[in-house]
Amino acid sequence: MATVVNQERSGTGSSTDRPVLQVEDLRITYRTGRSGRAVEAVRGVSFDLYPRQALALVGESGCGKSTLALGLLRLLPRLGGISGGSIRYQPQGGGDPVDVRALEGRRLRAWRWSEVAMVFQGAMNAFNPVLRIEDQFADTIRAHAEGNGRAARPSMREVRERAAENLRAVRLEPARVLGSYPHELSGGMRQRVLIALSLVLEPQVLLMDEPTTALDLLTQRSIVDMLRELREERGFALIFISHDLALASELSDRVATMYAGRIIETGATPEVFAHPRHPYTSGLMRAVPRVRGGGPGPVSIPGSPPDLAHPPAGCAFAARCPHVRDACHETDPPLETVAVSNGPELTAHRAACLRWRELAEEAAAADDAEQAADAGQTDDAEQAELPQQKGATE
Amino acid sequence: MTTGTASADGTPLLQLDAVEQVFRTKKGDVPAVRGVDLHVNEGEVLCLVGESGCGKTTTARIAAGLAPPTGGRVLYRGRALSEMGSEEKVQYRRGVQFVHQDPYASLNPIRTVFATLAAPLRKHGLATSRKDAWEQACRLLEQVDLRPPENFLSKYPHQLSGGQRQRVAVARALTLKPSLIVADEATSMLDVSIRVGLLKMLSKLRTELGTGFVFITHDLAIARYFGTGGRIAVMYLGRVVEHGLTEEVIENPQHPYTRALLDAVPTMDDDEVGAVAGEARKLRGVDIPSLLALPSGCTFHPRCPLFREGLCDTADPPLEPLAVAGGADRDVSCHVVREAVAEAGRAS
Amino acid sequence: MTSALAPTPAIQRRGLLYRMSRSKSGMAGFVIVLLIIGMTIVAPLVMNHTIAPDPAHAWEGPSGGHLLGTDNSGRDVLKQVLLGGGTVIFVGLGAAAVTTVIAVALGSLAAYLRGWVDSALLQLTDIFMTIPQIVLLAVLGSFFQLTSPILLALLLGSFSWPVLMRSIRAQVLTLKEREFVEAARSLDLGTLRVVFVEIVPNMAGYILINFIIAVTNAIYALVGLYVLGLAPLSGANWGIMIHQAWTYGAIYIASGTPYILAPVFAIALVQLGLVMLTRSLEEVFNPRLAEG
Ligand SMILES: Nc1ncnc2c1ncn2[C@@H]1O[C@H](COP(=O)(O)OP(=O)(O)OP(=O)(O)O)[C@@H](O)[C@H]1O
Ligand SMILES: Nc1ncnc2c1ncn2[C@@H]1O[C@H](COP(=O)(O)OP(=O)(O)O)[C@@H](O)[C@H]1O
Ligand code: SF4
Ligand code: SF4
Ligand SMILES: [Mg+2]
Ligand SMILES: [Mg+2]
Repeated sequence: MATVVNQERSGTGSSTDRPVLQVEDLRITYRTGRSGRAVEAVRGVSFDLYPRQALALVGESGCGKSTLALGLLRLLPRLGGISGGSIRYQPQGGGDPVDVRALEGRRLRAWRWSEVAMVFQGAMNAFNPVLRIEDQFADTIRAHAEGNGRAARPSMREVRERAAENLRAVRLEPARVLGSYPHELSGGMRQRVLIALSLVLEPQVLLMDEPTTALDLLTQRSIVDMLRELREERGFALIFISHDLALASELSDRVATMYAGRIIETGATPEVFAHPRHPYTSGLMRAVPRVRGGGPGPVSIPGSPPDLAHPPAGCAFAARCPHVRDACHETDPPLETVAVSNGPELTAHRAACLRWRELAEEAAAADDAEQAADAGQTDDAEQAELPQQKGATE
Repeated sequence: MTTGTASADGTPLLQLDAVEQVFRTKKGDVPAVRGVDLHVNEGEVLCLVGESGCGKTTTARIAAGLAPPTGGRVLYRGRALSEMGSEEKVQYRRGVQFVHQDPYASLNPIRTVFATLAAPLRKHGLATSRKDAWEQACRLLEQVDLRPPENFLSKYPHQLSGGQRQRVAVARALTLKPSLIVADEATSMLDVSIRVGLLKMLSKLRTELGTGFVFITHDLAIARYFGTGGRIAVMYLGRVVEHGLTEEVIENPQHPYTRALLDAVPTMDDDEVGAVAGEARKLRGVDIPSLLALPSGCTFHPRCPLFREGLCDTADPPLEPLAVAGGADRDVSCHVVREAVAEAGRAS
Repeated sequence: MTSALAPTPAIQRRGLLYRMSRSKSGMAGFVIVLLIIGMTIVAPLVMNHTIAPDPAHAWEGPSGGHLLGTDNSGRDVLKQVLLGGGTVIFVGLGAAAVTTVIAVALGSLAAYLRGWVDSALLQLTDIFMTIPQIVLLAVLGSFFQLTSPILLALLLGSFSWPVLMRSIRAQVLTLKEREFVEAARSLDLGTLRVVFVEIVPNMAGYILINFIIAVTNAIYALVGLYVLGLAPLSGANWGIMIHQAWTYGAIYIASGTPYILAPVFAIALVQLGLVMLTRSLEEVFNPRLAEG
């Protein structure tokens, strides 16, 4: 079955596809233990995810990224629940869209992992320590085969073959890895096993929650490169959660910034990073120091996100925004399209800021001024770059 | 260039002299640090970068006197720790303070900010009364940009955010007016939005109080930002493989490992989005060799893109000065790069 | 990464009673213990201490005048039960306090200082653990007049600390690796301060629970001494009551049943209350249990 889906999928893949995941006004609420008061951690999130697309979800810790991902998979903890909105899943082999909120029991389990899979935050430290890697694969493959009501239970040989194929895809040696226990593998290897494990059922959507945060630079780099290749090869859609903007920008073709439980800016990755329209997105970008070149030093965003138990009336970012006006405290800004020039609706650049138009004009004026200033300094700039080029050509 | 100054007779503030640390474990001896020479002058920043497990923390703990090395010496103002009398030892303890990586673990959960700051002040006779301690604690909190300080003094750690906790940890390190702060990944557990604020605060301490820093990070952008004007040491498997002025090493890396690290840094400049940078990134392997079975010759050889058979896997390259065109002092441990530079020198 | 960042204060200072009240059995235990302690304090204040013997009414069954009947010399059993808790509970608390103080002091110092201090103290626990307590107490009982409850508490307490000392030592061994302890150490705050101000309060919950367990153990040990007749049988308390009831053959006399069962039941109730109390305290102090 899986191979059929795969063929169908690789045949298409243009942006005219129907979205594989349609999320509309999703709300997720936690009841907090002590007083039972409700905290809305996701407050009306909408987006469409198209086949083969990689969507990066970025934002500060606590902004609701993991909650959103868990909600999409219906994996919320006992005290959390979806309190509004809809999630629709479009099977790519054709067929009717699935209302994910209505899935229950066996059907929900069958849908999860085989259609949409997730790599959890910190999960590489959560492997069952007494199971060999091949047993972990066997569990996943068999549990699913049963969930599907398939008659034949896959044999261990079949399991090993499928596991080996996926391990090779994440550049691991099956011979060495399959027989190992989790603790015998390094963090980077465990993370790759986890990715292989999530891909073994050939899902159409893969959710990854901070898959590289705990890893060092070189391992992180190899995983990002590998994911890019895998996605081209297999054509799944990816939702990549991270608080590292630069990393997100390298892997994704679309980005969504979350703040206080909402998406406050979204669009094609190069477009958003070149022309951020929400002050929070530009703030996040300015907060990251650059490794090369001069430019202005990094600037932090003062203050902290609002308490979601008592969200403010107007713009949630107002308390920290350098461009705040009185109106911002009263009107809750909707997500508006700020640029459509770059193609179809799925890459439309949208932002939720009352003053985006003014700020865009200001930014453009500042850019012009800078360019004028730069023109006068070309000589210096070239000289400063000289040693770097030498180093690179050595 | 370097902001730090050696004292009149050229003695560095803190010096590591061929330090080694071997952990004895059930599986065998783990050589976490294998002969590291480093020094920091008064008011200077020394950044320590490298992959996880390369021995940064272990080196830092040795420098801060939290773990005695199994080999080599630590010298403070020219005096070896092992030869110090108790009076000198106290001076060293007060002079060198450590800031931990995890602000959630480094503050006592059941003590208020005031209790945390007052204890060292009272113990070392810097504050004579509770009122005096209170005033000094206020001043310390202002130094780390926690304002108004009165709001924070009676709080418990769990009532503070990560960034605020880390500031309290820094304020505590400042109580004894140290001349050197050893900061181990002090910003890596904080959100991007608050990281820069903390870095700025630390830079301010550097210029205002003249405090020296040993600053550990795996983020080269942060090393560059905080370490401007200082020196950087790149570590690999328990050794320093490249050492020089921070800007120069980052702009013009020589060791293949340093280059690979720099190429792996993700960027979000529009022209580089999604771009795959040069060949140097193409390491031959991603997995770090085990410290229990170190590769022969140059320990980087199983991964090195410049690997040359017969040379790299037989002889261990020493860390020696290398004449880099247009640059100041640089130490690099690599056979191939050394040859290339020598040839280029002959050619010109 | 985030989960590692989740703040887990060792003790949530506010709402200790609130959280305890969430465990029904814990609350019940708390109430039982409070009532019994209240009774042992109030009873001697409102009642006549000496219960006059009345041989005419010996071995009487329960009646309106004597709710739990009378003993071999005609004294009211209920009155004896109400008055006889004081010593038992006082000695239990006192002995537990002595045990806990010794165990915490020695255990944490051994773990923190390691080296020869640690080995010497571990040797000491080995020696203490190999001495059979009850025999030693019997020997001591024949040398000293163990009439003073304070002396009893000291004696019982100073023999039962080794087990707790070892588990405190194990706790401190892990706590002292925590970063805040390392920070205190590098600020040169001094051994005693680091151990007793920085480390020990972080085990407050653990210590409290073990203190209560020590109380139950001390009560058993004390009652055991009385029942075996190893402690002087002067005065009246639950232990002595059981001993007397036993030696005067209360179990062979139908109407004597309450005489022997009443103190047994009183002791069982105290122990039950204490055990239930530790359960809920465990829940309060264990952040993982408390979260759900
Ligand atoms: N089980 C829970 N009970 C109550 N509140 C919760 C629970 N889990 C998360 N929250 C709250 O929901 C919000 C979003 O949390 P979430 O874990 O999704 O953040 P995140 O964006 O993934 O952050 P990070 O980058 O740190 O992982 C936070 O305010 C958090 O405190
Ligand atoms: N107490 C210890 N016992 C055994 N091995 C250790 C210990 N501390 C560190 N190591 C090992 O030493 C190496 C270097 O560790 P560390 O200095 O913490 O690295 P880094 O700070 O660069 O991440 C690692 O392989 C680590 O597993
Ligand atoms: S709406 Fe106002 S407060 Fe919100 S981001 Fe825009 S300018 Fe800032
Ligand atoms: S010595 Fe050889 S293996 Fe080692 S870094 Fe240099 S080129 Fe690479
Ligand atoms: Mg998360
Ligand atoms: Mg470390």
